[in-house]
Amino acid sequence: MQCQGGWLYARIFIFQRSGCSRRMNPISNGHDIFICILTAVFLEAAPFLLAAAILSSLSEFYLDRDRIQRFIPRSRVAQVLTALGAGLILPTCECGVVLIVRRFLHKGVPPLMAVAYMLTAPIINPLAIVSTYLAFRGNWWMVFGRIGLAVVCASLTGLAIAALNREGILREETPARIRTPQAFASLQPDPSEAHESRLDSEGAREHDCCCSHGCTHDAAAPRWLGVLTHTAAEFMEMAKYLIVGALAAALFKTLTPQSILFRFESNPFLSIAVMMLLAVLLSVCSEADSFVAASFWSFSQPAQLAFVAIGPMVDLKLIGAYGATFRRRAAIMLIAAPVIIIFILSAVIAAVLG
Amino acid sequence: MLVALGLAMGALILSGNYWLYINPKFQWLTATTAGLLVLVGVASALQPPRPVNRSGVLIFLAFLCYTIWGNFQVLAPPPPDLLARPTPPPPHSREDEKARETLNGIEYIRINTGELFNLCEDKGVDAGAHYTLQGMVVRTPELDRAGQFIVARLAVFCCFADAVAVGFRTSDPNGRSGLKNGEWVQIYGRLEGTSNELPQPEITFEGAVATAVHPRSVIIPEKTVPIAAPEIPFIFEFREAEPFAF
Repeated sequence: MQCQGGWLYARIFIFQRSGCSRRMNPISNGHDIFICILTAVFLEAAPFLLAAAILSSLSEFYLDRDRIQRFIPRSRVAQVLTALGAGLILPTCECGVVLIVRRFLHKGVPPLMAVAYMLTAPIINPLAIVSTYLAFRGNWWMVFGRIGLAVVCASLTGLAIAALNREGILREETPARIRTPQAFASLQPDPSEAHESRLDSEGAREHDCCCSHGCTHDAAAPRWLGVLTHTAAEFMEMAKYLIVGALAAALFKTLTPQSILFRFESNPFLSIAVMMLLAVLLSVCSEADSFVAASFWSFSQPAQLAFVAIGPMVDLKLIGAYGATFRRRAAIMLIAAPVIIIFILSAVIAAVLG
Repeated sequence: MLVALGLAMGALILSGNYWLYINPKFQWLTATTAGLLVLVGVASALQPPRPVNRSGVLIFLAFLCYTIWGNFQVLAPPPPDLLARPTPPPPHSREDEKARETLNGIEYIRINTGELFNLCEDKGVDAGAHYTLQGMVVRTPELDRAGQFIVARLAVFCCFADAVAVGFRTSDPNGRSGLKNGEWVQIYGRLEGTSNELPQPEITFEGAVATAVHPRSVIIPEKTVPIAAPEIPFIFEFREAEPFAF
């Protein structure tokens, strides 16, 4: 298809408001903007979601509970530090991290560690650190400020969730018990197999899978095929929340005039609140949100900091995923606690900086 | 459905319109994802039937149909009269790029608005330096009263959802240039600093998250040439030194 740049450009870009809402170009079309943003958000997030689904499936099939347990320290401080270390070496963005964390929780990772990893990994991974550094033109204060806010917020939220949700934080799930006649041929359980397989009273191979999507792993099928099938199910399950989040973000971006935001820029506390709300509603990827924050140069640094800290922890894509993955109380805490903590910390920074 | 999604993503890359949604430097990532989705989808189809997540399938199907239909609308060819504008030839390779242009004996550094913005932030406004940049003219009554217009372009860092309009105030006393809103121009001019930080003009671009107009500089144009909108009008690249991405 031939690229018709001028035409496309006219349709999506040339639409200006100045005081009154006035169209500069009669062929500008809000629906085109909406569809472009919706597609862009999905295309941007899909690779990360797929990577997370693959990682989750690999750990489902190749990583057993005992092996993971060996890496879990007893002290809470060490648990948080281990989670931060994992966030550093396992680059994930917020689009896929919930899938990985759900699998880790199923494998016996304590909620404190899981939550600390989930909230910090999209911020403290090398890609996000480099993009923050570049976006803020080498301003280390912003880089370390973002990491610091994320670490404090994730630790506090993790502690609160672990303390208040002792019965577990994942939603009730019915394990998919699969009895496959084909498995008669391979009744010898493989000790290295991650799946906990056993013979039931009928002699069929019973398979307790910790999926939440009713997947049917054929015990006789090659394991790699199981990984692929599991990946498909994981991707499909989380993609619906991504789609709903992308729809809401595209709608917000299409309908909300930028000029509203600038009415709050002069108030140090309101500007923090507005930037946080903007981060949640825009749902920009954590690798790119620093560039967006930096472009709001007329806002204070604490407001910009709040924007880049809250976005990867709470956004429209994540809210749906939290609701689908965690128990109600845990999901509400995962949304409310970061918002409150980041706002308070940013407000304190604003007050100190004057 | 995953196979259909993978194929749709592959088709988008092949269509040449990928840049409209995502920074082209991520094309390899989307292509890999498309390939893996097809693989995963085929593998999934080979397995025995399993319980279907109906809400997920419905949402996914609706999304797929809507975006494919919607993007066909966006990419549909315009009426013939709107196609009349000539488009420039494809961009040169980096080696072929000219770093500067000479006009009336003055050398102008070719630069895009995003790069110039960064340069001004990193090294301060280099008053008196000569630059040539291209962008879209933005006029408002306030800017007209101040004898200025803004030359701006949309910068896309990752995807269209994080697009930011980056611009510079350009001196135009009494609207002498006669340029209209939305017109594309190449400006050859001199950068001048301002003693005070200028307020952010109340302009917004549909599709842009924010508009950043450099607050401490104004371009004094020495020549302004109306041009056709570039084939790919967005800024995707920000270089630190010459040759700039222009």
